Amino acid sequence: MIRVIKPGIQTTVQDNGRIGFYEIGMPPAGAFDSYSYQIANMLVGNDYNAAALEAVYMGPTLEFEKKGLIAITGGVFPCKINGQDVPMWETIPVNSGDILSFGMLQNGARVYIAISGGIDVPVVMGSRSTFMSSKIGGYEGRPLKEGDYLKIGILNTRSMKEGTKMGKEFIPTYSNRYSVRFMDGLCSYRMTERSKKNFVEADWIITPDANRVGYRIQGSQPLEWVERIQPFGAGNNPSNVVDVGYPVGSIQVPDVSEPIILFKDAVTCGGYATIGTIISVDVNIMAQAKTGDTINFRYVSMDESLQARADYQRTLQRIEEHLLHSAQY
Amino acid sequence: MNLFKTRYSFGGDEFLFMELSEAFDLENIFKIFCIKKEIKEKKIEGIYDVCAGNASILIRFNPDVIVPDVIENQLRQIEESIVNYEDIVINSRLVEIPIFFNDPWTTETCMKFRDRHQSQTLTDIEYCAQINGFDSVESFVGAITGNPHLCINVGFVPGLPWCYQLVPKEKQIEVPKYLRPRTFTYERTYFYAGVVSGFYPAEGTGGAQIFGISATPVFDRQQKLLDFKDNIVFPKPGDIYNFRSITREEYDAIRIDVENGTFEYYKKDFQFVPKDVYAFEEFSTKVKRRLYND
Amino acid sequence: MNNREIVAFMPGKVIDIKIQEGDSVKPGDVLFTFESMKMENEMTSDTGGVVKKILVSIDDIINPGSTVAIIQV
Repeated sequence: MIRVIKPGIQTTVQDNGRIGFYEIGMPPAGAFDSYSYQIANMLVGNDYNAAALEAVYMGPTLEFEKKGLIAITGGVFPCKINGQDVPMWETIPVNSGDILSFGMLQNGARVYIAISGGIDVPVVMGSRSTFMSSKIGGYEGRPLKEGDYLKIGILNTRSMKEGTKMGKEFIPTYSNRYSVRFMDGLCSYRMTERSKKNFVEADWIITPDANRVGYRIQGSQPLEWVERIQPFGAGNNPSNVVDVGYPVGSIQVPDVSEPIILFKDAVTCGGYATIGTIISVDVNIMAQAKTGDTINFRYVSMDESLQARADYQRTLQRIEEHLLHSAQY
Repeated sequence: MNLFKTRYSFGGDEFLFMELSEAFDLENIFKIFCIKKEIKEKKIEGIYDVCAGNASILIRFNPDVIVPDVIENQLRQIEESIVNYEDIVINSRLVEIPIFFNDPWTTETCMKFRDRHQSQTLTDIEYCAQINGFDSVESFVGAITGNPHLCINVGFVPGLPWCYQLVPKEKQIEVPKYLRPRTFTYERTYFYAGVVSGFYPAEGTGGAQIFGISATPVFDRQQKLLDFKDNIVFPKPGDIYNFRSITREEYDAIRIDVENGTFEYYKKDFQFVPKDVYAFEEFSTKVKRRLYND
Repeated sequence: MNNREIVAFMPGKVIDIKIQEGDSVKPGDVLFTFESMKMENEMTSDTGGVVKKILVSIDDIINPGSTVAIIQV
């Protein structure tokens, strides 16, 4: 059991999400920074889909009832157990009564806390992820509150050695400016060529309206629509299209000055044009970008996107092999 | 005949978008139903989601299992293979959905947000009746309930059905969005947005025009009602809904059944071919007879 | 007399300033309300003293680690 002493700002139970329910309007949810989440699970010897905690901007204060192993990955936060500094990206032992707490966010935005065995909450529609809008999954469908008790599961597949470290080359660096890759589409035909060029040349600032549902971004120059008579079934605004499905990572433009990037808790369809989609591996980068940070977008082709995906999977494989050497059976 | 060639584009490395048209066309809805059915029957490995837009299909796939080129080719082939979609039998359901139109909760919500609406004084239903050329709310409600509505899509949030009324284009009700969205709408509110209508599965914000309230849920997370035994969501694309206008007394009585867990939607299985739908009045009569007299 | 910096712990937009320069505050008093992730959050004082300087205005975007006020303890 883990007792929640302080919940943080928004701490939720997440796993890889529930994929395959777009047809009923259910988005996948799941760990926003999939990379950090997966490594946290690897460091504690968990199954690939064991549930962990995702905390944004402020870490929770947790008391561990039993001895176990934890790992903390993601954005840069000072972490302490019983007041003593502990490192991130490492297999850390905890004893009965130990208290984990976090200092102020230094960089990045989200932190992942995995415990050997995984967080045990009911599986809903194939996943333990929390989808807050519908109060589904996770811990009672909501972010953690003071006084909550989290049960620990049995989803560990191997015993990890305390002090197992991640190689520095695998730890992401965070800053205030990120370059993000995206693919053209679905309704980019609605945008002028000049606007498409502006989109990739401009600096886009993340506004305070940024959470797991989506990030509103602000640019210095408004985008422009190709003029047309709105077709039957589309709304009156030039940003309207006849309702389309929204891929995860869609760049939606309800307002030419403030696009919204849709993420894992977003609506599944709607009547606003989307002009591009962030490639799946770069959604992990966006998870660590915070209000006030600058984003620069860069077009990539499907081939480049698939290459990025292959590189990412190879990296995870190398990490897994590296950690296997450190495991005890 | 629609001469628009389907636009294929990818939404990142995991989504494929098939845009059949830039405009809404009932014909495309039936094509979309057929394509969806074909995709599911072929059991293509690596496909996670096949969901409809109002003139498009969005597919989520795993590029580690099926490469984008291959999936695009397979979908193009499926699309080309569907020639007689107008004759393909659709297995559907006819469902009666009781709606309390012009109810006090919807009125209360409307009046809170007149500063965000086209009219400073009229409720949404009064305003929309007027701009659609109806001389009273009653005759407007009569038009909404007079002909059945086809569920073309479920989405946006879990359980929200998007419904298109089966009447000719010239008779379609069409409404604008609010100037700025409301910050609140009651759960089960019946709304109209553009040329489609639906129900709020849960309370939420929104800029759709709100006309009434349904006594019955479309989304039941706890699956208490029989209609939700296998799914937290009730509507399915392809469903045909008969909206029936009810009084406050009837609304209250149905709410008791829902809260007791005894409510079950009044429904019948139904099969139809798309080509029959275009004789709208005949089709409406057929639907109502099957639902109420058979 | 010590100058104690009140530092923002997370990013957001200032939507309300609850204090004025010269006010006395005690630990736990709410100094600012700010908006982040479509939620309202409060920034409270972790010390007692007198508000010497307010370094933000309404609608400012604050970054984690930036000083928002100075309290003379």
